[in-house]
Amino acid sequence: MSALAGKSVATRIAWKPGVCNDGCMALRVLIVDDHPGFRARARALLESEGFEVVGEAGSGADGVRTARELAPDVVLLDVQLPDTDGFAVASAVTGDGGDVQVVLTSSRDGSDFGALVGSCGACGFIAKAELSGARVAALLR
Amino acid sequence: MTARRVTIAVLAALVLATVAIAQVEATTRTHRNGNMYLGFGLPVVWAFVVAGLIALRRRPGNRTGVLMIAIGFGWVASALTDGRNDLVFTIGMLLSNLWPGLMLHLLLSYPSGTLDRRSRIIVTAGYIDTLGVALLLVPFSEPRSDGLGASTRSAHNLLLVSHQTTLINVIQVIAFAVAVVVLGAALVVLGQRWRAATPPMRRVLAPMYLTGATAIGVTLLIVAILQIAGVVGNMFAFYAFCISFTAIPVGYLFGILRTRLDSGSAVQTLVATLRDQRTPGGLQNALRVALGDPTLEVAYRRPGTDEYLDATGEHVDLTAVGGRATTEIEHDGEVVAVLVHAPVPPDETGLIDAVCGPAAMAIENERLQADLRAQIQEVTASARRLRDVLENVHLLAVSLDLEGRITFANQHLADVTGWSREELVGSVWLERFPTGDPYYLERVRDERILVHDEMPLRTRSGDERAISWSNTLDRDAAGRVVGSTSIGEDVTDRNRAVRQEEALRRLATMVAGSAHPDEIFAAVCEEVARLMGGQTGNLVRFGDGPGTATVVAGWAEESEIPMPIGAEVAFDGPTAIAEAVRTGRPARVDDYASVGGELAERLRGLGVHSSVAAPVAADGRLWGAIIVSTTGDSILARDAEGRIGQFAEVVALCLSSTEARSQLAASRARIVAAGDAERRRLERNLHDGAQQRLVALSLALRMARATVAADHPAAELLDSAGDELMQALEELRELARGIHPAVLSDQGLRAALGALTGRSPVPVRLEVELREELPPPVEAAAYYVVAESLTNIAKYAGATVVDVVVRSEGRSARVEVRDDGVGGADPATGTGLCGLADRIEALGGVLRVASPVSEGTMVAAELPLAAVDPEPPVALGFADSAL
Repeated sequence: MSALAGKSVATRIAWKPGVCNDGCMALRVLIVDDHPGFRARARALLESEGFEVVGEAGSGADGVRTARELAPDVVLLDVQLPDTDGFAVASAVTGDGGDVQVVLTSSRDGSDFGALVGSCGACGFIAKAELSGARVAALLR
Repeated sequence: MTARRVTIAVLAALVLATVAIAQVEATTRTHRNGNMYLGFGLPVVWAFVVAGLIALRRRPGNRTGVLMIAIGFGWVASALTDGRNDLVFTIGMLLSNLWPGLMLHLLLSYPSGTLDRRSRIIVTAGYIDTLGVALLLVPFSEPRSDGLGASTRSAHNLLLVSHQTTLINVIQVIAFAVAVVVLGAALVVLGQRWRAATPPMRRVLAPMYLTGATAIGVTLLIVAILQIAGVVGNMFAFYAFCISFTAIPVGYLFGILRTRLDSGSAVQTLVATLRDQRTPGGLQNALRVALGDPTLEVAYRRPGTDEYLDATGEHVDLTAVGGRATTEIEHDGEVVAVLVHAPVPPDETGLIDAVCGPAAMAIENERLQADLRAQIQEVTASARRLRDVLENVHLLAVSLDLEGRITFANQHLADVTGWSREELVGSVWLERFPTGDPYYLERVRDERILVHDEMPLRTRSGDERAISWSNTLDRDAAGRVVGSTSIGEDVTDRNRAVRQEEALRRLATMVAGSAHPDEIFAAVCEEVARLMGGQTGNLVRFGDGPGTATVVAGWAEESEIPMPIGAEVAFDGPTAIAEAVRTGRPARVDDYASVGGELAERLRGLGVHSSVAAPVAADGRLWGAIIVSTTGDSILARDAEGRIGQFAEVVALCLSSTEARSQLAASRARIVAAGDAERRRLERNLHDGAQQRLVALSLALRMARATVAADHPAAELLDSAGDELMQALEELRELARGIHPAVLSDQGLRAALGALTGRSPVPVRLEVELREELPPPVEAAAYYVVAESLTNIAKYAGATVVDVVVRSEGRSARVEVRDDGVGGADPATGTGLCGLADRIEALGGVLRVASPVSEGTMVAAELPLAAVDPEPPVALGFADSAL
């Protein structure tokens, strides 16, 4: 119960807007998820918080290619993809040597994936329901 | 009073009475010839009294003596009527008629002194007719007036009332008539007794009856003459009367004397006869002669028993002697024999005693001989019985002497061995049967014989039989060992049946214990070949084409060349296997020398001489065959087909059991796999459906909230809704995770275990060492073992640390979860562990739980990597083409 309560507090904090409104250039985001609904809502949410969503991809292969084309600052990457999993895409994207940072997301809990999140090159994990610009920004290095 | 005093008293009384009578006669001179009167009268008195005294002395309990004495004094009393004194006269009158009654009593009670019922009536009538009538007449009789010697009498009847001559005459006539009847009845009784008497009894009765009958006859005659002639006081009648009566006691004394004389002569006869009688029963004959009883038998008592024997040693039943008398003969205070003889009057027993005394030694001697003969008969009968038993029993029986020569052989031995009894008896056992025990004779001589042993015995036809022997030493009378006798049971068939049963049981145990078919088939080949005495045993599976088979398993004695496993065999020609295929029944070839075809040629090359093949049917179809073969010259036993057939059934059982087991395992695996697939689908549906929608809703809420000022009334409502939604998502995630760990199917066991242990509230040390990726069902089982264990540990164990190890071990994976908690877990009470055990067993694995109290809990699962194929089984791997 204590773990759950902690998450609730984190959710409240994360909900506060304007993290990135400090005049710096808006962060460019690529959203990779096979659910169009989620992509649309994530785009709206992140844009409402000052992120610039530069592209969307519906599969792992698309995601890798688009990331290389657009070179975004952040890739919001779903773990579960129809052709591969987010860990492989993360490894591929971060393995290219650019500055792109990957934030994994899933409707499952991060603990379900154990050490995989930390070992694939991603900078962090956000549960989809807890997604916010502030949470993304907090994970970035 | 002692007998001597009685004798003295009686003799004194007799002398007194004699003197008194003489005095009476001298003073009264009643009789014209007084001296003659006394001369004839007194001897009667003396004879009876003296004879009575002698009788009393011989047999104090017998009334005979008393009666004789009474008769003597009765005569004296009758003489009292001659007295002048009135009182004496009156007493004489009262008692003068006593003696005839006593006389009758004496005759009828002789020799026992007792009366039977009929005699008692006669005697009573006699007393009434004599003494009773006299007493009745006393008041009416004055002898001086009766005309009977009235002129000579001077005394008066003191009891006289009135003299009644007519009354006296009438009553006397009646009394006479009664007397005739009574005496006639007495004569009839005595005559009957005489007829019924045995010779010894007659010898006793004769003197008394003769004299008694004479006296009665004389009395009747005299009375009749007196009555008819009216003669009174005729002295000649009196003399005859006296003489005939004196003869009675004299006759009695003569009888006694004769018994004495008889005893002496009987003993002499006995001694003389015994001298001539040497045969058994000689003594009995001698006693018969000596005692004059041709029916006499001697029953000898067996020393120390109550059994009686005759001279030849035959049993005698003394309870069935009928109406015959028995006399025990004692020697040294012990009854040594019983004489069974005609009933003997008491007086005669003296004769037996007299004879048996001298004969005692002879009796004792013959008794011992009778006992010896009885013993010999018993021994002979016993030996005969034993020989009969040995002869007729359905067992082998043989006696050997100390040289090992056969002295007896029963017919069954001859039947089993094939040698005739004539050929057997006289021959030396070990020469006839060289497979026998070579140390047997030595052991017999040393008296160290083995009571039971089992030895092979080769029959005339060369068959080897197993015989279970029971051996006994034979001894002579002195106890020296003279040979041995053995009883043998042919246990060949039984041994073989037992060995076959044991072999079948071993194989059945292997089948039941889920041993691998290859092992079972190899064992079948070896067991059946060894049991049947074959040098090789093979199991072949028939191929698709006709006339071909593949060797599946085989065994061969070390010296033989085995058929290689997997070798193809084409069976052409009339081989055993071809016949078995053709008929579907076991078949044999006793000699391959003349059998044509490629296979026969190949078998000859392997040295095979004979074969028996039994078909193996599985699932209603001919699957293969067991073939047992011999090399050299030997052939398989006649019943080999049926017995090998039983092993073929074991193979069929193994096939169907393996089939059934693999089907069951596949079925269970399918159920588990289907369950897993369903759970995966459910989890995926949750993830793609409800979870995605709730996530979308959550993001929408968050965006809506961003558009509302913090102090707006809707802000709090939206915050609350957002919290609720997060809670619902968390619960849904938990539910989905419980249904199926997506990470397991997506990322594999290692990642899934990492995530699992990462969430554990109790610290976990995870060690995964797998050489290869595990099959999905095995991964799932391993995952659930760890998951269930960690859940239990968190709930109950109170552990501080958990070690989880998953590693490859040979052809299986081992999963071990060990904690340092309180232990004491009972796997039977946890449905979670039970379900796990089912899942693992469905994979052919094993789950073990060790949870000693206070020593933590260890849950370990062995999971075969060659997981059961959940696909429907086609057939056994090596049999798929045939089944």
